[in-house]
Amino acid sequence: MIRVSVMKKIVTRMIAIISLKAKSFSSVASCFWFAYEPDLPEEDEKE
Amino acid sequence: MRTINFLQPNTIAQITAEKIIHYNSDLRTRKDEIRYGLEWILSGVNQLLVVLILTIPFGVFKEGIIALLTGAILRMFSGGAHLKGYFRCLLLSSIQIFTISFISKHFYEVISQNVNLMHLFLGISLTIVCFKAPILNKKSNSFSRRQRHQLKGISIAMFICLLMVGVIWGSTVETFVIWFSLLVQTLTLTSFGKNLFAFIDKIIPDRQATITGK
Repeated sequence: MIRVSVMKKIVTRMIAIISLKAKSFSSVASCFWFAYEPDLPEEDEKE
Repeated sequence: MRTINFLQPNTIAQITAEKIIHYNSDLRTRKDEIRYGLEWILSGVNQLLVVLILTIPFGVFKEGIIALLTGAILRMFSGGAHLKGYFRCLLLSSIQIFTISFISKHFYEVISQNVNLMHLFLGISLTIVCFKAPILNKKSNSFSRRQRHQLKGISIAMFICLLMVGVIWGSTVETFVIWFSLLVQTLTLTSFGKNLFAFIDKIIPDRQATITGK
C-alpha cells in the first residue's frame, strides 16, 4: 500500500509538470488568450 | 504589505505552487514558473466553465465554443488591449462570447441580409491586423523585433485561415460567429479598444483585500 505522503508527492509533481508544460506553451504566444494576463515568472522578467 | 485577491487564479496558483514545493523541494527554483503555468490553466478552465454556464441555457453552446476558440487563436498571436483585474476580464470576455453567439444564432436572417457590410468590416479588420499586431502588454520586452514580425505574420495567417473556414462553411450561423469574433478581437488592437478598456477599468471600482503579511 502506497503511503499518503508518497501519493501527495506524486500528485503534486504531476501538477508541477503539467503547469511547466503550460508555461512553455504560453511562451510562444504574445499574450493570454483573453483579456487577463498574469505576472510573468521572475526568471522571465529578468531576461 | 501583501495584497490578496481571494478566489482568483493568482491566489490559488500561488498557494498550490507553495504546496508543490513543500513536497518537491527540488523544484524550488521553478516555483514561479509553476505558479504562472497554473494561473494560465486555471483562468482558461474558468473561462470555459463560464461559457458553458452562460450558453447552454440559451442553446448556443456550440456557437460559444467556436467564438471562444476563434478569439483565443487570434489573440494568442495578435495580442490586444487588457483589463487590469481578473474578474472584470472574465466578465467582459464572457459577455463578449455570449453576445456574439446569441446574436449570430438569433439574428441570423438580419445578418445574412447585410453580409456585404460584414465583408467590408472584415477587410478593414485584416488591414488593422496587418498594421497593428502584435499588441503586447506584460510580454512587451519578451520578444525581439524579429519575433514581433513573426507574430505579426502568424496573426495575419491565422486571421485569413479563420476567415476562410467561415467562407468554406458558407453563410451559416457558425460562419457569422467566427467572423464576429474576428471583428471584436481586432477591435482590441485599435486605440479605440485600448481607450474603451481603460474607461472600463476606471469606472469599475477596485476591490482588493489587503492584509499585512511577509
